[in-house]
Amino acid sequence: MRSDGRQPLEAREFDIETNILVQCWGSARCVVGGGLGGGTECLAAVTAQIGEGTACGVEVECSPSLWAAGDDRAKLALQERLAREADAWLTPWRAAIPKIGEKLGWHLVIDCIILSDDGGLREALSCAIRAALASTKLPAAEEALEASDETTEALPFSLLPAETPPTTLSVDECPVVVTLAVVGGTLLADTTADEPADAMVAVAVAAGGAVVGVDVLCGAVPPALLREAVAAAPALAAPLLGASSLAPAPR
Amino acid sequence: MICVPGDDVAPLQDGLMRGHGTYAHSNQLVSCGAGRIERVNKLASVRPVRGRYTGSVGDLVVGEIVEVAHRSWKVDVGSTRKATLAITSVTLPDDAQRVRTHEDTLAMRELFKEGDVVVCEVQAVNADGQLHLHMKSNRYGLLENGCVVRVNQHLVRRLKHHFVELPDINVELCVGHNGRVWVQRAIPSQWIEAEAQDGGGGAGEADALLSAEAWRRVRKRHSALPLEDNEREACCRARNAVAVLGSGGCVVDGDSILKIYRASLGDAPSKMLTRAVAQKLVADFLGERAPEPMDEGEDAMQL
Repeated sequence: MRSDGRQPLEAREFDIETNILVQCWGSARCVVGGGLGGGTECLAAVTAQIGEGTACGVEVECSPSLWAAGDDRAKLALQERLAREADAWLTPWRAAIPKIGEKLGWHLVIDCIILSDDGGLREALSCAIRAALASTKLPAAEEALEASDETTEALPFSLLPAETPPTTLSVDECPVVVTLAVVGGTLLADTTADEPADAMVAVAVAAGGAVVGVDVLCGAVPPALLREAVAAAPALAAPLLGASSLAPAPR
Repeated sequence: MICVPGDDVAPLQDGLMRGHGTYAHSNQLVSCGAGRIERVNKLASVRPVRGRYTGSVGDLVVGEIVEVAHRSWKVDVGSTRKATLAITSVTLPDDAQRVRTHEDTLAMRELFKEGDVVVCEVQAVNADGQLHLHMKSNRYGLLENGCVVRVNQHLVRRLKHHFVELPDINVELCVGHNGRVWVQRAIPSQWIEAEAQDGGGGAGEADALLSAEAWRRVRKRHSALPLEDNEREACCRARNAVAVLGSGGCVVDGDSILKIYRASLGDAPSKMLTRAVAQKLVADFLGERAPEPMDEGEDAMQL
């Protein structure tokens, strides 16, 4: 039993809210462990434009309210690290970005901001990103005929009438990440600041419980514990996957 | 009295001094922050409800050693700056009363090292807000085999005894003014009595039954003995009770912790971390109850 009464592989309660930012195509807010106030809070917002091919970029920012990260330099390092990790999480999903005709497609940018950190940061971030993508509604568009006037540089697409249902994104391939920490030889899920970890491993799990990636974040994880972590991850990820796939609430 | 920005604090009279958090407007002293109004003779000020721990002399604080510096330790007490604990302000092993030598300076890590949780008292507050701490009472010192819970520092009032023991539950807490509460299994009184018989009492304070060295031995015994399952559950529940009080904005003291503890006995301790259970515990504690649903059909007929 841990200091707050949880079992070793028991994660805290979490909460996801979608469509909170009206100026974006999709947005979500995920709070892990916010039952008693505080907790870890991440916001993710999806903006999109049409371009050649498809693309998806992730940017992560640490809010000034993030005490836990330390000074500015530490925050910058954390931002860059999380952006790189989030980029890697989305690799299996990039094939699902909708195309428009043969040459054009949607270019998405996912902007994330971390408002507070009390453990479970990657859970909150990956859930926020997944829920934001799940709630994204892009206007239906189709490739237009080649413009007769070749001097225009506008991309050849046209938006379909407003009554057409919007394009939504499938997030089955998009994983959520659960972190397990090694504390004194035992594996603990969703550790907080008062459980200092000797080593941490992040496991990415996609819909259906498929483990799509493993990353040792810090320290050295013994192979037996690593196998245990990978085996335990799908069960931990299941509630996160379920909640971030839910149909978005109407605005 | 609680006020919000823009509230009138006091009419501007001769001799009324404007304290922090107020400004003069027309003939009134107006608050420019949200917090408690404080009147001390002619000084009116507004103390904010949020913000880092500021500290005043005599406060008992629970902090974490973050740095071992030259002849002092830097302690994180949740203030804007790290507090200083000088080597001259701690009791040496074996209750030695002497000038601190060079060897003492080199052996500082044997007393306290980075990551240790300590309980001490505020000795002085600098002009820039930096706190100087001391451990001159025999009961102050290193805390081990327990955990720290953080609550808003304004929820801790000046209590008679900051070392609180929850009766019948076998849990001891150390409630720091800086909002950090240390929770551990209660030290059995037999150990204390055994030490008192062996070594004799300490000089001075009424609640320091033993000398500093004797307290150290008792604490070492406590930290060396692992917790039983029921002791661990009791500590978890007490820790969560403090966290629930903190989340509900309730004052943290022995009675309130005991009430929340007793009210939560139906569920596993980890259930107290969920919003639903925590809010219910706080609501019951504060005596607020949701209004009973009215049976609208019948009442309307009778009207």
